[in-house]
Amino acid sequence: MRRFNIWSLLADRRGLAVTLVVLSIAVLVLGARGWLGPLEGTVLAPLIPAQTFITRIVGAVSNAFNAPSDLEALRARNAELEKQLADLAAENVQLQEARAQLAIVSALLDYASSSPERRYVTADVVSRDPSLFLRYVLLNKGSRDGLVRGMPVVTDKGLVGQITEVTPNASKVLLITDATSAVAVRLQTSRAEGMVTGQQSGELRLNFISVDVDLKPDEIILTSGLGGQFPTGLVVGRVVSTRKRTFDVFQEADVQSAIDFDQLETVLIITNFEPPQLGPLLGTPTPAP
Amino acid sequence: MRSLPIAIPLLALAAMLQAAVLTHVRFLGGGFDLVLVLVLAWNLVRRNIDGPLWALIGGLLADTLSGGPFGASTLGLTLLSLTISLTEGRFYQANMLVALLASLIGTIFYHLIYLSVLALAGRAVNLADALTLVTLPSTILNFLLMLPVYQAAKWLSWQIAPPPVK
Repeated sequence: MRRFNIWSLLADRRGLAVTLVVLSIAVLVLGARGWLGPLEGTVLAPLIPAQTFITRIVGAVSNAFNAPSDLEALRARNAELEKQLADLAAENVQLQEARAQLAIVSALLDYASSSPERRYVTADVVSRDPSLFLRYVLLNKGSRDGLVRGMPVVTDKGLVGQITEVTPNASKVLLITDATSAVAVRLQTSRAEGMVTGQQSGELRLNFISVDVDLKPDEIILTSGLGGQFPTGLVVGRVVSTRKRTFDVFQEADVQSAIDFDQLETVLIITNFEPPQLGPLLGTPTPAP
Repeated sequence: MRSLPIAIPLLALAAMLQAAVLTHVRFLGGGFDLVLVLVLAWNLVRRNIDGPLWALIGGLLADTLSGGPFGASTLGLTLLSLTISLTEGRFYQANMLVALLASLIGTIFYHLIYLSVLALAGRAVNLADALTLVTLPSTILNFLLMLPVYQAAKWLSWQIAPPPVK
């Protein structure tokens, strides 16, 4: 009887391919159970400095090539910014007055709810997801810097996403433009609540807004904090165009974020945001009638 | 197995270039996939045992840099390599036309497996959107990328193991 020999199986190209496919399935299952985290961290550790280096080189080369052709655009932009500066200076006077009033209101609010100040950690984006179907970015900070899964990621222009995976020196962020991302939001003017979801194309869409709500372009969309996924009041984007049909229950709108997700370089991670623990509430017994 | 010392740094470089540079190059919703094309080219050029290993290494590196289910790229690339191994002997020698055709079919095949894994992992996958917005444009870009990559793979293969003189 011929004995089974693993080495002769591996020596055959087809046998090896089959073995590796089986191994891949094993990797997939182990990965799904989260048992490959340490291995992933070990592989990522040497890749992060190399990836940072490549990103910097690419950025420098890109800037060098783009600089001359951008000169005309920069002049126009400069003129536009000077005009904006003048407008902002006027607005600033009004805002200072408003801030003085806000300080009083804030003091009252602080008395009612002692919400702690947000603390941030800055991180550089070192790469984007190599998969064309996913929208993640890889950051050069990890658990060593106090980052944990679930922390919100922002820039000065608004919400970027949420940390989904952390290794000692890196973390992965699911962008709000990913097709699986859903953010509970509130419209700044109408105070209506809805959901902003990412699309396969990388665009953002506002859903679940009642047809009764007067939804207009340029309305600012903020996180509502519902579900405890994100803190309240983070800017998500603004309404670009709306679609409303009389026989529908909800209307939807295209949303534009102020963030250019393809050009993200540095982000802030809110480290002191604690999502509410809903677990104990789920186990609360219903009172007898 | 002689190519293994080259495979790891080369595929790591390909994966990092893919994540840092090629993700900026978009055509419609699609993009280049350097790791996929490199693994595909190597499997076509090297009619021996190291093709599947390149698929495994390339897949693991791509998965490490990705936020998707760990193993999705690995499974896609090793299955692709297995499929190529089944065609062995049907083509007397891999040539440029076979490689270009393989880049078209390989991209669609790989994307279908990848999307299946995403769906199995519980992600909502809109197959029609994914195939029309991402896969279709990507096949064109990977077709173009295969031209230089296949030549480079052929050159590298000759450096590692020159064909015997008849």
